[in-house]
Amino acid sequence: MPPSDPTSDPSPLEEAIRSSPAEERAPEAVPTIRVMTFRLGGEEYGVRVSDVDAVSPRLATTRVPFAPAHVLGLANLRGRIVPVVDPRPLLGVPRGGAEEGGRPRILVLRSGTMIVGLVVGAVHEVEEVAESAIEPPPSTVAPEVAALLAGILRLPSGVVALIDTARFMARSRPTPETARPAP
Amino acid sequence: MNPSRPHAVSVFVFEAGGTLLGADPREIRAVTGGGGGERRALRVESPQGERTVAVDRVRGIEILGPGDLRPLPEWAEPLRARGILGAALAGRERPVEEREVVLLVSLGRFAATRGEEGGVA
Repeated sequence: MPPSDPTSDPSPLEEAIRSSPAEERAPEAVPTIRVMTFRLGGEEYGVRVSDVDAVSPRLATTRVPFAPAHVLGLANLRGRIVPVVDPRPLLGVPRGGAEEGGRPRILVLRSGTMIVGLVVGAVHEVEEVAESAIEPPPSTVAPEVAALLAGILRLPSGVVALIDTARFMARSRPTPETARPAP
Repeated sequence: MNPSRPHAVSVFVFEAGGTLLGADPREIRAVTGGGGGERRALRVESPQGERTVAVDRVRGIEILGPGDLRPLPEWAEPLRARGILGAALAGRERPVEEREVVLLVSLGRFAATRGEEGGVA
């Protein structure tokens, strides 16, 4: 074999070595989110697990004068005062008890420094899903409801409407405009 | 302030409009009615003059310590403008998780706001 000439074109082997990464690349991680699902008016809803502060059995509430109708009151959650809301009117879910399934729970959500409890039906399992699996809400969903959703997820168990916690909390919060007259 | 317990406060606890409220007893000028079928009411001073707050039931004075008082949750802060100041856990003899939430109100502001909306008895 003749001696190699350093000035000549690189061999195919050299080309292959040059184009190889310095180390083996791990397969690209798919960003995922963990979603806690629950029943509400016969439909499945979900929230990001990272937004869940606590899950509690239904607690007695003290009604708050002037608060909008969806505000059920303030509850004592192990010494902490938690506002409790009925999410159904805001999410366009008809009121009904039997189809909720399981014992009602209070799902305490946190957004920044604010907490609020949602009365929901049975709380189901936590699912890990790819963030890319979140689809926009269908156009059949009323705009004011769609504004409270991060999107929908098609899980093996069915379609889940994923609530946007920050937007839900902002929308459900009492304001001078949403305050109702005292009884 | 309760003289026998310097860090305790006295709260007048009552039920009105289907909720449990508490107020500084010094705001109450008089408790009226309650006899002969007459509805019980509180006479209070508000920025608009004397007002009457209808009461369903008087629970009485409760002595509460700083550990029994809670600020209004941040989410409910807009209601402060209506005279709702915070909350308290009533019933010190019970474990904390079994205690009732009492809404602490400024009776003057509360009565004035209700009055604007025609809700005062």
